[in-house]
Amino acid sequence: MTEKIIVENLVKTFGSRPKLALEGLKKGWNKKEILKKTGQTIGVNKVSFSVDEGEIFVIIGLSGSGKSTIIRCLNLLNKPTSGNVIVDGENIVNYDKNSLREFRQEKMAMVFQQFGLFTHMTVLENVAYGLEIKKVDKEKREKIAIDAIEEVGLKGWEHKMPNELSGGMQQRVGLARALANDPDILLMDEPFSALDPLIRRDMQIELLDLQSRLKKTIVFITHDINEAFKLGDRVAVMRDGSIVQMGTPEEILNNPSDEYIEDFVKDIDRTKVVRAKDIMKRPNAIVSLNAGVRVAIKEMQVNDISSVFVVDKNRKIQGIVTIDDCIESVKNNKSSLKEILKQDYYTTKEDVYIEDLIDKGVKTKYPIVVVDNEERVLGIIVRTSILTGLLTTNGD
Amino acid sequence: MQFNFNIYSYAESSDSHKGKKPKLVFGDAGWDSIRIHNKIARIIIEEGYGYKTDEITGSSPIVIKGLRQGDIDISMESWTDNIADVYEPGIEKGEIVELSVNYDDNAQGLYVPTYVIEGDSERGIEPMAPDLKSIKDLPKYKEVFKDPDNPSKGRIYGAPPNWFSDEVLRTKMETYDLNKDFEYFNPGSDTSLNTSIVSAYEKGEPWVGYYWDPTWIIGKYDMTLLKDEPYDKEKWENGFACEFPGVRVTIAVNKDMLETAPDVVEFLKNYETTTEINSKLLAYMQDNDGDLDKTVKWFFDEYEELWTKWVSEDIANKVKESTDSKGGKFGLSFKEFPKNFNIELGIYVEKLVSWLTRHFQGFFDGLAAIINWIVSGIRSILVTIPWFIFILLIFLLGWKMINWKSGIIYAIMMFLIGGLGLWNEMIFTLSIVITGVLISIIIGIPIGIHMSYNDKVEAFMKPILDGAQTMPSFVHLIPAMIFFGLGTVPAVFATIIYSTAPCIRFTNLGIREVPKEMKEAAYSYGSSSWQVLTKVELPQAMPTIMAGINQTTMAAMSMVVISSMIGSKGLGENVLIAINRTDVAMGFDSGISIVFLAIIIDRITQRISNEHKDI
Repeated sequence: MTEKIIVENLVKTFGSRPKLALEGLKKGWNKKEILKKTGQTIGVNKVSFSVDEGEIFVIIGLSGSGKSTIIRCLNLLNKPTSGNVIVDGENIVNYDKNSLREFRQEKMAMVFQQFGLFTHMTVLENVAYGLEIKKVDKEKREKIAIDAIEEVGLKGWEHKMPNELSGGMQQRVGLARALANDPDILLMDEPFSALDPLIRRDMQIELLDLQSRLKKTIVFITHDINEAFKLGDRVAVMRDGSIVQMGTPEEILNNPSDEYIEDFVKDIDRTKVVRAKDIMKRPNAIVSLNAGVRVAIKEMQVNDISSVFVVDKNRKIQGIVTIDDCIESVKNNKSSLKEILKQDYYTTKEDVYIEDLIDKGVKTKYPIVVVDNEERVLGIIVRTSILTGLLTTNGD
Repeated sequence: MQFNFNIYSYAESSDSHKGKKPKLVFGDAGWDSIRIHNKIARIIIEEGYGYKTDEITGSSPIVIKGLRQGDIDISMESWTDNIADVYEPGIEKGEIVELSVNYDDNAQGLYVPTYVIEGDSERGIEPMAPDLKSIKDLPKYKEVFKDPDNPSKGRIYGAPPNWFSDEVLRTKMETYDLNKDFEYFNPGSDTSLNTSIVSAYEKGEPWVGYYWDPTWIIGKYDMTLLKDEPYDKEKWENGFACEFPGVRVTIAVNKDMLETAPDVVEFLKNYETTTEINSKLLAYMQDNDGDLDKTVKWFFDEYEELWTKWVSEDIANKVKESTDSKGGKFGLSFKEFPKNFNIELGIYVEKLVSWLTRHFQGFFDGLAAIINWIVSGIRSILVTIPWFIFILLIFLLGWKMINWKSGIIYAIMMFLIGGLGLWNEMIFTLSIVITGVLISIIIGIPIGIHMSYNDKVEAFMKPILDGAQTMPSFVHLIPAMIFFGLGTVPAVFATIIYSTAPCIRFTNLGIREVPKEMKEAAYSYGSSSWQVLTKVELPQAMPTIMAGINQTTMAAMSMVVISSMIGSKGLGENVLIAINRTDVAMGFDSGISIVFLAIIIDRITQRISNEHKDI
C-alpha cells in the first residue's frame, strides 16, 4: 500500500512567541513547563505518523489532547509551527496561497463536528459549495450535488434550509458536501459526536458502507473509543499533544502500551471490537465430500469431537455430519456422506464482530463456520470461545 | 457700635420677616462678559449680603423668559434691543424690573477679519478686499465671500435667530439691496456664529457677518467693523438704513426680588460699567486661558474705586476681606477640586484640529465638495418627485415591507407633515439623513470587517466608538464646524461621525458571531478570503449588520436635528427657532414631523433587518 499522508515531527504551538516554545521543546521541557516558563501552549508535540491510501485512520484522545489541531494541520487550517505534512509526496507546509487553495479544492474535504453548514444556503447550495469555489458551472455542479445528496440518502431535501433538518440529516449534508468534491482524502473531525447514539450507529455503518465502495483515505477524529475501534483500520491514541500508541484496534486492545491506554480501553465493549477472525480456530477437523463416512468417523475420533464439517475440493462448505449419523450409515452399509449432510449450521464472515455472533452462538448446536466470500472455510468458532472472546482474544 | 448692631439686627429682622434668605439665581446667557458680571455680583451678594446664589445657563431669550417666570432672578446683561420681543412685554406686564444700565456704549454690526482688507504679511495672507470700508462696498466683493451652499452669491453670517439684530440685518439687506448678491445665512446660535469666525480666522479665509462688542472674539481677533451711515433715528426707523445705536445693556430682575432681597436690589441699582472696562476684562480673561476666577479677582483689585461705590463701606470691607484672604473664595478648599491644578486636554485637541485645518485645507475642501454633491444630488431627486407620488411610494413601501395598514398610516403621517407646511423641510432633512447613512455604510462596513478580523484593531477602535457614541452629540458639531464652517456639509459630516459608530460596531459583531466551523468549512474547500467574506461571513452577519444600519439611521435622524445649530436647514431648524422663541405651536409642529419621519424610517429599516433574520 502507498502512503498517502506522511506527517513528520509535527509541532503546533499557540501563543504569540512560537520560537520560545520550540526552544523549550528542544530542551526537553514538557507541555506544563513550557506553558509556565514561556506562556506558550503546545497543541501538538512532535507527532509523526502516516496514513495509507484507502484506510481509515482514527485519531482518538480526550478533549485538549490535540487531535483537532492535528487534523487542521493536514489542510493547514492550522499552520504547523514546525514539521512536515507530505501528501502524495509533496510537502504542503510551505504552499503559497494559490497552491494551498488548489490543494484544498482538489485533494481534501472536511466534515465538521457541528456540521459547519452554511445556514443561509439551501442543502443543494451547501453541497455544491466546493464545486462553486472550483468554478464548476452551475448546471454541472448541481447535477453532481444532487447525486451526492442521493448517495447519502437525502433525495428530496435539496431545497430545504439546513435548519429544517435533524442533526443526523445535517451531517449527511456535510458528508455529501465533502463527497461532491470527490477528494482523495476525507478529514472527519468528530463528525458523529453531536448525534444521538442510535443515529451515530447508523452513520457509522453508512460510513463503512460508503468507504467499501469509494475507498477514500479517511482521517477520522473521535473521543469515543468504541467508535475508534469500530471504524479504524488503525488507531492513534493521543495525550497531551503526543501520540502515545498507534496500531490496529486489536493490537492496542491486547497490548496497551501503558496505564493510560489501559484505562482508556477499559471501558471498551469488546463485543464491538473483537471480530470472528480474532477468535476462530483453524479448522483441523474437516472432511472432503468424497471421503466417505469412515474417514469422517476417524477424523472425529482423532480430534475428539462429535461433528465435522464437510467441504468440496475447493474447501467450499457443503454441510456438517454428526458422529451418530455416521455410525448409523456404517451399520446400514452406506458410505456416502452426501445423504447424511445436515444444513442447520451457521456461517459468518471473518470481519463480523462478536456482538453480532452472540445470537447465533446461543441458537446453534454446532460450531459457527467462518467463510470467505466464496463460501470457503477459513475457520470455526466454538460456542465457548464466543463467550471467552469477550475476555481475551485469540485463545490459542 | 450702633452701626454694627444695626447690620446684625437688619439681618435678623429680614430673617424673621421672610424666613431664610432666598437663593438668588443668575441667568447665564452664554457669553463671557455676562459670566464676569455674574461672578462679580455673586461674590458681592454672597460675601457682602449673605445670600446664596446660583446660575442657570440658556440662550438669551430663554434667560429673559426665565426671568419673567421667576426661574431666574437676575440678568446682569440684558441686550434689550436684541431680545425686545420677550424683554419689553416683561417690563410692561411688570414681571421684570429694570434696575440699571450696565453699559450702553457698545457697537454691533457687520464685521470682517482685518486681514480681509489689509492682508497679513506674517501669515502670508494677501488683502482680499482692499477697498472694503463700508457695508455698501460689499457687492463688489461677493466673489470673495462665496456661499458654499449657493456659489452664485456671497454669504453674510447673520445674527442668531430671534435676536433683534437678526430682524435689523434682514431688513437692512433689503434696504441696501444686498439680497441679490448675498445670501443671509442663519448661523443657528451665537455659539456657532463664534465658531464660524474662529474657523475662518484660523484658516485665514474671508468672512463677513454680524458681531458685537464687548466680546472676547473682538478682544482676541483683529476684526474691523464695516462702516455704515451714522445713527439717525429717522433712517433707523425706515429700514434700519444706518449704523446700530448703542444697545442699552441693562440689569433686570424678577419682580419678586424687590420684596425678597431689597438690599441686593439697592446694590444692583448702583452697578454700572463701560464697554471699555468690559473689553479690558475680556482681554484679560482671554490672556489667562479663560480663567474666570482670576479675571474677577483682577477686577476687584483693579477697579476697587469703581465697585466700592456700588455698596456701603461695610459691605465693601466684607467683600475685600473675603477676596483678599487666602482661606476665602479663591483659596484652597477640600470641598472643591484645587483650581490651580489644571490639566488642559482640550488645548491639544484644539491644536490638532487647527493644524489639520491649516495643512489639509485642500482635502477638506474636496471632501466638502463631494458631500455637497451627494446631498444636492439626492435632494434634487427627492424634490422632482411630486408630493402625491412621494406619499404613494411611502404607502407602497410600508405595504410591501410590513402590511397595508402600516402603509396607510405612513402615508397619513407624510400627508400631515405636508399639511403642517413642512414638506420642503422634511425633504431637506431626509436628503441629509440619506446622505449621512449612505456614507456611514460605505465607511462603516469595511472598518467593521477590518475590526472583526483583527483583535488589535478592535481594541483600538472600541474606545473610539464608545467615545463617538457617548460623547454628547453637540460636541461633534465643533470639529465639523471648524473643518467645514457652517451649513449643510458640516451637518452631514457631524451626522456621519455620530452615526457611523453603530454601523461599525454591528458589522464587527455580526462577523465575529459567524460560527468558527462555518468559516473553517469555507476555507477548507479552498475559498479565498474574499470568497469567505462575500459568500459566508457577510450573508451570515447580514441580520446584525441590518440592525446596525437601523441604528445608524436613527442616529443620523437625531443628529440631523441637532446639527440645525450649525446652520443645517430642514426640520431641525424649525425646532431650534421654536426653542429660541419658546414657541410651543411651532415646536410641536416641527417636533411631531420629526417623530413621524423617524417612525417611518425606523419601521422600514427594522423590517429589512428582521427579514434577513429569517435565513
